[in-house]
Amino acid sequence: MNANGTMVPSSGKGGVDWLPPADIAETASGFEVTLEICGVPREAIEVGADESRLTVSGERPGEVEGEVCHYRERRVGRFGRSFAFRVPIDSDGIRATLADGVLTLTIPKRTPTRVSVE
Amino acid sequence: MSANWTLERELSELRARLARALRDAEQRWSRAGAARSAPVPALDFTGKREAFIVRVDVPGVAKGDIGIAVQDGALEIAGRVPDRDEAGRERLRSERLRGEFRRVVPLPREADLAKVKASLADGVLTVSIPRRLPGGRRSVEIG
Repeated sequence: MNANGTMVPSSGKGGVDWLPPADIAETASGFEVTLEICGVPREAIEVGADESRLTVSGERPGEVEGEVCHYRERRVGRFGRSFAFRVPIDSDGIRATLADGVLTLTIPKRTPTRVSVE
Repeated sequence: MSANWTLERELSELRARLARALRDAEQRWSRAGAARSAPVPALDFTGKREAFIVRVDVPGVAKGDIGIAVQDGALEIAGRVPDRDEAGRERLRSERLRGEFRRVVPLPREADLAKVKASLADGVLTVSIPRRLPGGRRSVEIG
């Protein structure tokens, strides 16, 4: 983990079979995380977050019934990634969209609450 | 004489297959060596009773950016994973590979290359190649 809002590969104990490749970008107002999860249906994706961490997990379906596999490179089964951010994030404001096998998560930074002194 | 001819034919087929396999491997290796950042989309090859199926992960790739060709008994899939727009943003992490890709899949002899069909959904390209019945026989479906 480094200072830049990073990945913690959730391998091993979480029972994860593969780690989807991810990109992270920062804008003035927040972060954008994109993950390659081709062939994963919307309902098989779970996104969770707290004030500094984002977790994405899910499952990609395996064998298709009635088909014999001759050659396999595509990873199937449980996947999961977890990302820690160096600034607080607004976990309620996260937006997720899935298009063409790419999951895009827009994560706003938390704006500090101002308390005016009366 | 007939046995000889069969042997000759089989040898020439074997040679052709070997040449194709070498070319395919070469392309794959040269790709891996030359540009580490070029994507090599993951590919599955499966079969069912009536067809062979090739599935390729093409994340974020539009239909118009994929080309499928059939040549010399092989299926060629080429395309381009688009670059992202970096304006106003700082890249913190970059694992996804962008740029042009090309995969070649040698197909079995019973593959009917004239009837290849392809579809794209959720970032997965599915190509289906019907199996030809042996001896040039074809089954005709009642429409």
